Amino acid sequence: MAEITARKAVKAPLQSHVRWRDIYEARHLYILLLPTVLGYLIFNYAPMCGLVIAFQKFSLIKGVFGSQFVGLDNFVKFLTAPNFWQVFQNTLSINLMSLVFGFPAPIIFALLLNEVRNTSFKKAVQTITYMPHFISTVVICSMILTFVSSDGLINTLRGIFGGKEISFMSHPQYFQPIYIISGIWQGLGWSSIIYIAALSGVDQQLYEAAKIDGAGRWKQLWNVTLPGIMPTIMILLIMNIGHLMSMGYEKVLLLYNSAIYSKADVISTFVYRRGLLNAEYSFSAAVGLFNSVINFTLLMIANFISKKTTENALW
Amino acid sequence: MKKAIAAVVALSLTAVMAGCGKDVSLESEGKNGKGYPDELSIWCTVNTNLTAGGAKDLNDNLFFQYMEEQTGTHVNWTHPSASSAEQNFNLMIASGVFSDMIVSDWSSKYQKEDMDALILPLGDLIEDNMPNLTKYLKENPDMKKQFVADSGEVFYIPIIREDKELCVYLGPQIRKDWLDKLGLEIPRTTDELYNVLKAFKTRNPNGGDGKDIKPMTGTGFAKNAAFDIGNLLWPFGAHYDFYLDGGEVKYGIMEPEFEEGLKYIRKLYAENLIDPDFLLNDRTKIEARVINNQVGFISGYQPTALQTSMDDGVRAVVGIPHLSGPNGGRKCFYKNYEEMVLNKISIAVSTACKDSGGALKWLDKIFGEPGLTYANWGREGVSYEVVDGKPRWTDYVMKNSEGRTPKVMRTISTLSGVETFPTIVQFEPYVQQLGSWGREAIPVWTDTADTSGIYPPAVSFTEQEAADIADVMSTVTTYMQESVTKIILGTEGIESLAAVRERIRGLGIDRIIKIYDDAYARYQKR
Repeated sequence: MAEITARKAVKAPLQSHVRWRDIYEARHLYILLLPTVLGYLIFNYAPMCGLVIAFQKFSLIKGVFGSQFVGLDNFVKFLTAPNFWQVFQNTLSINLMSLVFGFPAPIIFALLLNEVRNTSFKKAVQTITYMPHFISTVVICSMILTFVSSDGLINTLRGIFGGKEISFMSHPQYFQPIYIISGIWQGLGWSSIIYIAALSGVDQQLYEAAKIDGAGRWKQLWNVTLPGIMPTIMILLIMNIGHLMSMGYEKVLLLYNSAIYSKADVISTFVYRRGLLNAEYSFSAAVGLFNSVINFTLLMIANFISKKTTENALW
Repeated sequence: MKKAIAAVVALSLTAVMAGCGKDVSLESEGKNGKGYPDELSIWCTVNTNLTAGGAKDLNDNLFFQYMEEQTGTHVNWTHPSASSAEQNFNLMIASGVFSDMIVSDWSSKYQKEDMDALILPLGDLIEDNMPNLTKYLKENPDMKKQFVADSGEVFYIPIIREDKELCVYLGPQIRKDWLDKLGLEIPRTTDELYNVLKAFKTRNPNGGDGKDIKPMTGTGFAKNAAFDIGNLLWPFGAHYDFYLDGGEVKYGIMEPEFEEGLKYIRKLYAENLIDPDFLLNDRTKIEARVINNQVGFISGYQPTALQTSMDDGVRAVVGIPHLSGPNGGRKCFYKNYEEMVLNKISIAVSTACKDSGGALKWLDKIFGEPGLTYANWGREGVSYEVVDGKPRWTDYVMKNSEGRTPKVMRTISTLSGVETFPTIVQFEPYVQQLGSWGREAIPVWTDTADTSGIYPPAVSFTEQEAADIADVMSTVTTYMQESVTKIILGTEGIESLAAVRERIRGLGIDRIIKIYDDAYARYQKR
């Protein structure tokens, strides 16, 4: 008994001594790590202190520390705004739709591409599908607007088949499909890269084993390929869910117009009109914080469910 | 590790010291013999015409070269580009290092307490140091009324336009050659316009198959006053914003005239006389359609730019009179027409200025002769010459050998051409460099516009009022645009207007009208 206590007493300082020695020995690695850690602290964590302006009536002159504290006023103002529910619903529905249709698309695309045996054809398809990712949003949006205008590409095609001209952007019901489809077109190639990489990492012996067991293409896909890339899929899904409330305002702002506010106005454009154009910084900060809290909660839930059901998780 | 830390510390110290260096250079101690400061720092946005003219900053502008010769004051400019101006301005405020003088939109946006910490009240300073401006304002009390605060205090000096015609740079315009081809007269009433548009649609004046013709176009309802489709409401005495009716403030959609005007627009749209894609338009798209012979009638900026790209001796865009409606009025609600004083661009002396008197003394050179002529015409013998006792632009400005446009040359030769620095702008130098289409449109628009209904753009609101307006109007405007657009497109019937009005009243429009009423009363008492 006494011996055990003695050993414990000896062991504890010994352990911490070892740890310091470990760090010293790997010091070069730690120095390599340092800039990244500092970068995060300075540029990602320190600015979070600025969040206090969400609870203030912020004045540029008085700064972050001198402005008047107003508690939850800015949040109340946002939640009780007459079109709050409209923008909230639009944000949710556009993002959910984007997730439901946009998330599987690159996976399916990567799986299809994986089955192609002609290398040069495969490379060509990949390059072409990456292309839209590198075009600026402003250009993409003006292209989309030109395509869907009453004398644009889509209406010309409809004309050939005897369809009637529709000014798509004047009717609310077309906005969300246009937004989501163009989003898929834009991101398909780029997002598939990570799945293509994951696919190349699946053990070839598994396919051979499956073939010997008499599995066809479908069975191989279902029982070998998909389980092989499942961890990647789950991680990306969790991360996408974490962004559910925060969509960039640029694309909506460039595409929408007053006839289709009912389906196109989202939280970020609402904040843009209210907060940026009228210089209400506190209000914008409050909405930003509101969004982040929802995003964070969704991320935690998704991560928890994924951990319980598929054993894949971010942490 | 220690070395790395040392390096980081050294770097940040250099940064701090660089900051200090800047501070010192800002101080303009002592004066040269004439009572002007040796150095001034001025924060002022510039537009791209300046760099297009090959100038680095405003010290390369002929007028400011003259100023330096005369006063011995060297100006250190800070020129953020127009697109990053606001960010740059906020950065300056947050950093606490202000320029001596700042050109910005002082009339709105900033909270009163911020203004007090940033800029000096100028009342007595102007009296003591600016004899030229004082004299001008005594002779033109109407101008002064447009930029003093309701309290009677002066905080900034704006761009002042000497003639009303300078404000009339937009209006309705039509393809004259199309009219001639179809044997039609210039439309003067809404009914005549309807017939003209109908003829444009059915008798393909551009010689094509007629399918691509959109008789008129514009921008979305209540979006951009210059090109707005809603400007067709005006002949009916209706408007989409706040306006005055016999001294009483009204909000467009709530008034009975609005319905009549809206029916007219709806009729034009239903008969395909309005561009079906008007919601997607901006200035570039609209002008491109005019240039491509697709559109016959628009509201917009005076057609000098159009002339540059489409004048071939055959085609012609002319300004037409503001239309009269069924009740005869020719109401015009372009706020610009009443904007004799441009508060958006006004100069203030910051609290950091060491010698505010000297700085204003320097500034005053702009407002008296010979500075004023210099500010509007540049250097005699270079940018202008006097012919028969009247100044005229030289070829250096009008037909520049390096291919620069008159507008660009005016920007680097004169102060009034810079457009982002306060001065008194004269009409003659401006109109001389316009194309003939633009020049001819100005009197037509000026003579036919009934501007009595315009809510004065120089009215100012208190901080609380501004907050209340932002609160209510951000919702009301969005909702109004959306529901009126639906009526124009025909997805909702005209009878839904009653419900829209009811909702807008519920959102608190009456309270806002009251605020506009009070502010207008204060403005009148200035």
